Amino acid sequence: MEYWTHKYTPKKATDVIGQFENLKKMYIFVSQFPRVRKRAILMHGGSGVGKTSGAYALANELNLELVELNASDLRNEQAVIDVLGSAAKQASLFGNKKLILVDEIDGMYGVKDRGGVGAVIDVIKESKYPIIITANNAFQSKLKTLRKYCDLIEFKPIPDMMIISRLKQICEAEGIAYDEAALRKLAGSADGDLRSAINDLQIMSEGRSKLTLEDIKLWGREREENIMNLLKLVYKSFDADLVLTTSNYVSDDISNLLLWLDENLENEYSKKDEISYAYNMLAEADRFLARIRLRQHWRFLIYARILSLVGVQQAKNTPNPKFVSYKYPGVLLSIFQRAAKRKKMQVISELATQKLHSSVDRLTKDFWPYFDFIQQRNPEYAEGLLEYIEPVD
Amino acid sequence: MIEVWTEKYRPQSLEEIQGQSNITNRLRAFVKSQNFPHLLFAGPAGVGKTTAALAIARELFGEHWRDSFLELNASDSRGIDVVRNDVKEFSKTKSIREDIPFKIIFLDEADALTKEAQDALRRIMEDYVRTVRFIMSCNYSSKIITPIQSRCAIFRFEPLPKDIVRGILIKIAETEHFEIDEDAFELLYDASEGDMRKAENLLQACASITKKVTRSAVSEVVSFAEPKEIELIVKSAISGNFIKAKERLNETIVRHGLSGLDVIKQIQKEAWKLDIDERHKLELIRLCGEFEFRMVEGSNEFVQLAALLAEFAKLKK
Repeated sequence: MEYWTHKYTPKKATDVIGQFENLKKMYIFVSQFPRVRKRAILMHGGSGVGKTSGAYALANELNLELVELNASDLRNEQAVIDVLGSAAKQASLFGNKKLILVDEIDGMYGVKDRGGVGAVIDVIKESKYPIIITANNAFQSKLKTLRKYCDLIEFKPIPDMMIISRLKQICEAEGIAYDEAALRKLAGSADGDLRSAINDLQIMSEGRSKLTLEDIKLWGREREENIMNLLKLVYKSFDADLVLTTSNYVSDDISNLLLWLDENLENEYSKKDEISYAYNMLAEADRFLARIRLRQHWRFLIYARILSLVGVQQAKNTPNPKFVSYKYPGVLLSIFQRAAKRKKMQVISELATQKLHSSVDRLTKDFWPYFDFIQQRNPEYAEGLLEYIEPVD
Repeated sequence: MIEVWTEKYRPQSLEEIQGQSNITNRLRAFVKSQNFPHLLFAGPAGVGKTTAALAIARELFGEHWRDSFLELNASDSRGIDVVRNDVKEFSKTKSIREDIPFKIIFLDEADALTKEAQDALRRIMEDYVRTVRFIMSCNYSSKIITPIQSRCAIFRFEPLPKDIVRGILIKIAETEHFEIDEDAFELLYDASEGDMRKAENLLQACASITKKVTRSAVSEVVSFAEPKEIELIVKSAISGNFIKAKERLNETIVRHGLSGLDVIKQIQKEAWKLDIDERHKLELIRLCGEFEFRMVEGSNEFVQLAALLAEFAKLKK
């Protein structure tokens, strides 16, 4: 299945819906570079309004080699220098010009991306090629310095009318009949986000030749309800395609989805072979998630999705006929509790290693269990021991 | 403030160390001559290895012994970086003392060092032998690479005999003003297996709740501190009761703040102890290995552990 957002992505600047002025500015910036006021453009605005696809359309139209760094890449200082630094200085392999795109720069955060924004600024200063940066929110404090080096272009939400006309074009191209009201409803709930409107359209028209307002109304967008529906399809039905399509509308990320499937499994399945098969599949799916993190190879996602959802679905011999009310995964909660406990132990343990001349491992085995006992039975005594380990000065 | 007994009653000098007189006599001769080779202390936990190392430093360097002594725990900071940074840095700088030209690095649990780190260590032992002496401790000298062993004087510490453990504990009871029943002592000794640290921690936990330590007080502490939870989890699982096993598992993990790797290590140990036929056991061990590998790869511990238990449960005919 090809995503319509991909199939109908703009090929040239004038295809980009509702952002004509912005694309014109970008066009001028790219074609006049390096004789420009600021050496980079920072495009900002909500999602699905044409920032990234605008950059792609421009690169395509002007036949530029697009060098991209996006949120799926590691973006710490060194990574930015490695990927962009050289691209910004070296001539293109095929002799054509380049366009450098740093997508979702406000998504750079945490220890892993440390120094990333600063490195982007360094690249801007020296780049031989135009640089375009996108952000949902350009006014965060961590982008303060970056803003000085960029021309800011705001991408506003796309007006409903324009979204509707685009949806119409797509329906016509796909041979789908529609009620005007249905498309209006779709566009209305998209809040100016064309990508989500197109996604919704594709989901709704799957297996239909005509789209009516009733169809749209019946379709709840509530997340909780969706995940409950999905779980029901997994545990009670055998239709694999339906499960996969439905999972597209669930906004929970896949690793949470695994926890939902795990939490509720034993209330639906009771036979040993069902449970074991289901867990086998969940565990295999989970391995692919680990591999994604390890290799940044996002194709693995499809294996994780199919193995988990369809794997658990096909584990049963017959569906459990009883109604089951699904529970929020307790593990999500226990992970937090456990993390808090470990963190606390870690801090005290480090002090204790010096005081007691023992390793953390050894203390875990030989000291903390006895301490826990004392703490439970004689808290005051435990308090006294803690003062010894961690003197209050 | 209440002192932890393992520190309060740690012998301060070599002479005070009990049960290892062969070793301490030779060590005292070293201290007297103010020179000695690198030392390797091998032996089980809680028999005086760390105490001996600290005592040497105290007796050799006197009041300011800490200035000339670096204590590192290899199992906390394993790996080559520690050797290259901390150890090397400390080795490079000369001793500030006129009388003794070297400093001491005490590397506890040295058998936890990776082979690469041990190789790096070997070089440092050679290059800086004039400025630094190493004292290393380990449970098994076989885990120390032979080039290091051959550069060290090796001392093998023995588990402490029963009468020595008894003597030490009775002395503590006198000082702390409480009583120990004779059969309570028997259980204390059995539970600690000649490991003085464990015996003292166990006794202190008992004494925190009573002035008269009985056998039942000891067994209460032992069963709290060495829970049978994992054993029960494994037994539920292999008897086919997956749901019970998983419920217990999540509870245990949260209660003790265990990591997935902590748990699987114990599951593997318990599985090996089960009274089932060897082929069945082998299959359980193989599964443990497979799932441990997955966790090391970065998979979600809860999902993988649940799947492991489900596999265990499936094996039940």
